[in-house]
Amino acid sequence: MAVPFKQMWTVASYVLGKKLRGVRRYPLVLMLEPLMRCNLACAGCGKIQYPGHVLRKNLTPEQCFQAVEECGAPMVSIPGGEPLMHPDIVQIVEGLVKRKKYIYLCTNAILLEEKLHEFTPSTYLTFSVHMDGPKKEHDIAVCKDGVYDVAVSAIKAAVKGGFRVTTNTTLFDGADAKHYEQFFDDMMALGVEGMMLSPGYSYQKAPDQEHFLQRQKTQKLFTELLKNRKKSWKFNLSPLFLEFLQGHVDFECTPWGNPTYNIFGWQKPCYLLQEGYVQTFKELMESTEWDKYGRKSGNEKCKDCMVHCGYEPTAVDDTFGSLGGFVRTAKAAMAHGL
Amino acid sequence: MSDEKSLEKWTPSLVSKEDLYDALEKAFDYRGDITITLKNDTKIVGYVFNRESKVAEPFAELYPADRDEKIKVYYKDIAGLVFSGVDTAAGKSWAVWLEKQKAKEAGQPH
Repeated sequence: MAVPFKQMWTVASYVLGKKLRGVRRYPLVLMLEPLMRCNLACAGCGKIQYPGHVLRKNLTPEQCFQAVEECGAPMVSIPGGEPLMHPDIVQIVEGLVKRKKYIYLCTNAILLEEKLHEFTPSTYLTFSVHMDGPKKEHDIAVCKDGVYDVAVSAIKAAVKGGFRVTTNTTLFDGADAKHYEQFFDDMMALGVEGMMLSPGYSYQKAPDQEHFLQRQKTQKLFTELLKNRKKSWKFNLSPLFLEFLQGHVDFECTPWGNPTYNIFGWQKPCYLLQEGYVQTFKELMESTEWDKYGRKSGNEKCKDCMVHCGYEPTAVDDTFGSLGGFVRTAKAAMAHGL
Repeated sequence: MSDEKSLEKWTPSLVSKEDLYDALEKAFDYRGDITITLKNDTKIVGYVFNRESKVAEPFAELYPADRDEKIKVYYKDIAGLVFSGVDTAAGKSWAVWLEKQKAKEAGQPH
């Protein structure tokens, strides 16, 4: 099982509580971006193209805690930029652990080994290491040679230090499924708890616009990737989300599932689309015209998107929101010996 | 790589209300600093991270380049704007990186 039972129980009881109270829209994971700067400039990333004075800004720990309290989601993902470059990242993590939030600190791992001793292992803290595939593919995706080896070394150190570690892989058009079988074996051999996968999203500002996946290509690639799925491969994803990526079930996007807070405020409407900002979570939930997003809306920007931040919340809602969903999840999980 | 032409150094002509609204929409989408001149001749250089044009008093929000605070500028107070800062999203193409990689693999200098 890739996710500890205690965490699953927390998420399940949170979702069931919302369902019982008749709350239709609720957040599952807060995407907390405490800074925009990064020590890499990956071609697939549209997050770091800002003037220098913007890149130098940081959310304070107090702003982070305020956002977490406002949002109320049981899980907090900390992307960026590169969160380990934030001067107060240890204080932020400690504050979130104290609040019993399950944290996924997303890092390229360049600074991880150096900073590891500043963190304390906890059930609530997972280092989610960006690994976009085997050595060659990864170093091309991050536009810098040698990063794969640095990340592998950091993963080993973190696992040895007793930390929870997952990998986070974005797949782009042209990915060769055969190479990824060995990659999954290699990652599991490092001792990671599980692997996260997601198709890339075409950020308008990302320099690489040609290599993002369209819906049918996504389904074909993930079917190919998972057709020889080994029991040793643990995915840190809902079983139904994996079914969705292969085209076995159809879901609609839940754009409010992973709300984003960063130096500009609460981002409208989702982690991927940047259409404006409001200053409170309540305002985000109440003022966003949610019907304008998702595939059914006909919004061109949503047409081909199958990214985890919109569809994983749908899969989780389906799992815990109905008996049918729970049975579907159990079947999918048992089919792969999870 | 996006084929969109960069708006760097562009000075929109603000003859009508629509011109102003369109320019501020583009300023919001621009990944560089904008210089805004107010009707009282004050100049503000900063990054436009938000705009709200569908409220009674439309406004833009900026991070000024010279201080760490968010400021709000009302559309009605704006006399002109220039896309003065470097467009940080322009010119960083995937194609260039791939060419470098190919050259490297072929053992050629790049």
